[in-house]
Amino acid sequence: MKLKTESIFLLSAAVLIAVGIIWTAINLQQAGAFFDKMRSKQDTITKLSEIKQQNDLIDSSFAALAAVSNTVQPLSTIVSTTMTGTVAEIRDIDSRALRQGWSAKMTEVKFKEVNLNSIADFLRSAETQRPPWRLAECIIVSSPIADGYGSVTLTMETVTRMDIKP
Amino acid sequence: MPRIVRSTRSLTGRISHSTVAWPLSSPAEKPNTIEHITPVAGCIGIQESLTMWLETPFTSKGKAVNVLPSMLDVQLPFPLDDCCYCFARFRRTASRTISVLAVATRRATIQKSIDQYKACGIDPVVIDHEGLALWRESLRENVPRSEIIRVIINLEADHVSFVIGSGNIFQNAHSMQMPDASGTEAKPEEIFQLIHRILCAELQAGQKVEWLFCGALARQPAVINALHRLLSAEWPGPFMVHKSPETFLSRALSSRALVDGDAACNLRQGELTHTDLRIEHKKRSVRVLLLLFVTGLAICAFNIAWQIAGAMQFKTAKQEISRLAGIIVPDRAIPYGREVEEARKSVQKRTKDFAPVLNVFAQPLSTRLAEIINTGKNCRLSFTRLNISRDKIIINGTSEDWNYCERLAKLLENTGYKTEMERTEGLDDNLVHFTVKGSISLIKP
Repeated sequence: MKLKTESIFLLSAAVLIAVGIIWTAINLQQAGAFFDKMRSKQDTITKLSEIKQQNDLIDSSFAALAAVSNTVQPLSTIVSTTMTGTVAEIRDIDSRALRQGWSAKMTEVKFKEVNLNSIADFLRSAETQRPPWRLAECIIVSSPIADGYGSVTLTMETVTRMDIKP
Repeated sequence: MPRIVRSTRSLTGRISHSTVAWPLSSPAEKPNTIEHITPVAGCIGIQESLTMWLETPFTSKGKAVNVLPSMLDVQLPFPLDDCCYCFARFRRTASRTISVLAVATRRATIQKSIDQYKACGIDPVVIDHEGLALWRESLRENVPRSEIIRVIINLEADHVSFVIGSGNIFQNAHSMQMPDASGTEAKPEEIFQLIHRILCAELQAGQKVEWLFCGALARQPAVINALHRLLSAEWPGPFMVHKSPETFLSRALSSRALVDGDAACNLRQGELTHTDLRIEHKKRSVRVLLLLFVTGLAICAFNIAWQIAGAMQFKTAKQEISRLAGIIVPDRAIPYGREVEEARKSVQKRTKDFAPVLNVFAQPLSTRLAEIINTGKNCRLSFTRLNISRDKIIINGTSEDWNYCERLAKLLENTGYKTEMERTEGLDDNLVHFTVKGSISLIKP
């Protein structure tokens, strides 16, 4: 039977609509899963952005370090200027290379039967150096003999250019 | 030559009529204006057609429609295939079933009627039913006030046709040839005799009837008065002559064509359908087809766009994840789906490795130490040993009261420490000996 143009047109339109409706139904059915997938991707992007911020902080810290002085004040000098007459036992306990020519250095400072208030002056002075010494660990054992006195062990940390000897 | 009336419908729905042509003695006399009138509505005479109410057993119109042709076929004296018919009105009976007014005529009669019209230079688009048209126009021009029986008598020179109805329901229509077809002198008694027998069959004796007259002879008051006198003697009731009675049927046909549109009864059907109407139907079906086609295309296009947009959105998100992961972990490829875990691991390692650099810009541990020592002083705590690092703290000491170390523990918790506290009453010094242990995570999970 020879199909008329009108019939072919009608058939095509019907097929198009049927295909469109089925396709729409399939898409609607899959929409939930798609939105879940997109939400998961968005979550991943958000988490990665947060991680990147943390990562950027490391880079920006190195960039900021580049602007500070290369000279690290030795702890013995700080002790002698802030705690006149006090004897401190100072020893380097660790040193390791970081990157971009920077290294980390840890030094232990031991005070025996020292006025604890003077420790605050020492720490303030050490931490305001450029680059600063930072307190990594502190052990204070109070003196059984006198109030406000005790033995103090400070672990100080700093970063320095590898060619600079503090 | 039929009477021709031009009717126009305004935007407000008002229909105005103007007479175009009167009956002429020969087609040669037809005025030129006829050629320009299109579309034209004509009618098939009552005597050449059949009207009947079909009572279906269904309460649903959809179901009733399906059986109507078969029901009509049974009622017709000739095959339904040779007929043109339409179902002009649907109504619900007292028993809720559907009752349908069917109009039918033979195809050959329609063809003959078309030929007659064409002989006068007219090609009617619509061929309506005379009786229905008279009834509808009568209702339109004189709205019935009650359910009283109405009889419309159309007095023409060659025939008299009358339509009977009640309220606004058409009941039946009849037509009779005038004994004197010349129509020069109408005799009311003869007309009465013609219609009396049928009226006796249709109306109950003494029934109140509203008489309405139209047609060319309704212009003659003497005829109308005499006829009404005779009729009202048996069926009393007022009479009225429709205005411009000679053009009443023409007005009726045009009004139906204008107002009812597709719902009007058009008996010019099938292969007899007017060319203009065929073209119009063809155009309409092409428009519908085009609309369907465009709709189908639009739905498909929408779905394609949806899929493309979805895929692009997904691809963009994946690219963004890869970009961020590439920035965070530049030195190696991360398996798909493990970006967050790998990136976190990498940053945690870097944070740990470069902690000394980060500590330079972070809050010094000495600040925390000072806060703890000050809190201890304020709480009247005496520390015997204090060991603090970035992630741990252990404080041993004594307190005068059991609850004094609570503030210290609270401070540590506010700083972010997870704390444990041990307290014991001193046996020899009446002091509370306490140990506070705290730990803090340096790396964010």
